Amino acid sequence: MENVIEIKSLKKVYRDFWNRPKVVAVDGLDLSVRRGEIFGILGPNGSGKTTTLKLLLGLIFPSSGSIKIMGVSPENMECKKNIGYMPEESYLYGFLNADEILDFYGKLNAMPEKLRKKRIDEVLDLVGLTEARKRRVEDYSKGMSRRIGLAQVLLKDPELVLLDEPTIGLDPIGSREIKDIIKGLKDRGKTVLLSSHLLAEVQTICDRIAILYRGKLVEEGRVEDLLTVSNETEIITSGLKTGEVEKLKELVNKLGGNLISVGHPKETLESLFVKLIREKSGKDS
Amino acid sequence: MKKIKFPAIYIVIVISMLFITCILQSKPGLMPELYWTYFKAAALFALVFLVPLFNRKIRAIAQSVLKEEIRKKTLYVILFFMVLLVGIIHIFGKIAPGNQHIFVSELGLSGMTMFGLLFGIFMASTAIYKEMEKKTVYVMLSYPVSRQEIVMGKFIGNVISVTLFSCILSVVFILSLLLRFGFEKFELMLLYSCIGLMIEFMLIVAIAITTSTLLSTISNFIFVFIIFVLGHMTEQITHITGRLEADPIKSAGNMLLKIIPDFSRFEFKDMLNLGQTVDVNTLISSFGYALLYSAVMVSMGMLIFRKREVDRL
Repeated sequence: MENVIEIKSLKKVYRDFWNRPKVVAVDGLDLSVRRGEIFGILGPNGSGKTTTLKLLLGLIFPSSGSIKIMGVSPENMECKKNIGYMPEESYLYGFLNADEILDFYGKLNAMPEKLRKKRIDEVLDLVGLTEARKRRVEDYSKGMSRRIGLAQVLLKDPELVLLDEPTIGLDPIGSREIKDIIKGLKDRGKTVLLSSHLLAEVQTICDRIAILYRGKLVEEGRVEDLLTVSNETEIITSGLKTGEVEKLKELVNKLGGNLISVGHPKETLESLFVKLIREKSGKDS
Repeated sequence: MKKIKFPAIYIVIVISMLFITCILQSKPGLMPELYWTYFKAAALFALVFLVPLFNRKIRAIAQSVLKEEIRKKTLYVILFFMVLLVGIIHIFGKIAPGNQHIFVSELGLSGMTMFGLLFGIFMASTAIYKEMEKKTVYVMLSYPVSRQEIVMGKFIGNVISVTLFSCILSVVFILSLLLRFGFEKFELMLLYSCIGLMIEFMLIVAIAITTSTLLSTISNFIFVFIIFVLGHMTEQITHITGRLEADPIKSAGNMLLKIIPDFSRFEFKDMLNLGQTVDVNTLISSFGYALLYSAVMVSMGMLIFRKREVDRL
């Protein structure tokens, strides 16, 4: 499969006023992101996640090594037409309203006026901000700010989407909606690279992940492969009575296995919360 | 063939203009002075404002700057200042000794200089630095817009804003004078003085935008203010360096005179007081000087910001 992002021996050293090395933020990173996948970068604070994103956007420049996005340098203008970026916080002009913000970014992306207007209506509807489109962004709540941030990404309809902590600060419903939109992007063949420290979130939506620590790559691979405990077996059944579970235990022992736990599977708190709120809002409406 | 980008063309034209200016100034008879002055001003105006405005992205950035300035509290400060100006004209018009209209005109022009200086420096000093501080430039740079286009868009937007607000002030100021003293006391020099101020503000904006790619808001404010003061003291510096005998200090003084902008070119207040007039050619020549200086400054700003790491403040 074609690589959309290729990072080779990437190093970023921050220097002080006298040009002496201060911090090695990224240290010899090798990474590749394939077309059409959702790739997650994980790591504790100061592990180099955000620096990597900044290098990918051309906001800062590598000390050594190389970055190729769709075969070209991140500073290339043609490449930027195909990149969408949603920062951790809403770094948008607060004095503009949603319509004006999207119109501004549409102009920067050289979109023709007719297409721009049509796309603005579509993306505002998609992120649920149609009714608040004339309100200034500085008056938006945190959730709404994230939505308008996502709207400017969707307006571009890019091939590669870079998301920095996409669901941070959102309530579970908002978080689920953003995750659904991210999955929707994958369904449409887009490539998504997200950085997050919310492990459960990454686990549910990412195909592959990379774990960084102190600027170095610690682990990389498919989420399923990395999380599979190969020396244990999980059996999920339905319709068994208490006595029959005992028989199952005996069978496992007879076969030489060791039954570690027997119980009922549990929903995640997030899915329970989302289900209840959706039921309630359905009844109210 | 590789497409030649806007900033590259722009910087090449600015260097060529500087080169041609140097040649023509070293050979005075090459072109009649008057035509050369008009040509320079027109070419520079096209270079500094018209050519960049054909670029849709620069236009969008400039529009957003203007929108921001209109929506900020700045407009209310200007309204307050206008009321204050009109009030001053009426109060001092009654109590000032001698040539009342000259005294009031000078007072109003001094007030406008102060307003424009503070407004221009503060607005332009924050232009690029604020983008980095608030991280709005992160999203902007994820779009196919170059760093040079951002600098140019900010410059044009700030110049349009400061010119628009100065125009409003000038119109109110001149109308108040006309109402108070009548049309027979109106001097064309007053209009020229207002135009001179607008040109001066444009130059201040160009300097502040360039330095805002490097310095924080406060440092930039102080730096541009020092440049403004030095730029008004060119005559004194010339006089002092002329009397100096020590070579290194004299050379440093001469170097300073070459680098700092000559703001005295746009100051017509004293001439108004002395009853002197300025001809249109001088005004156009000063405009050309300001445009060329601005073009050089903005080009420098574009070159600096091109390799600036935007997360290092």
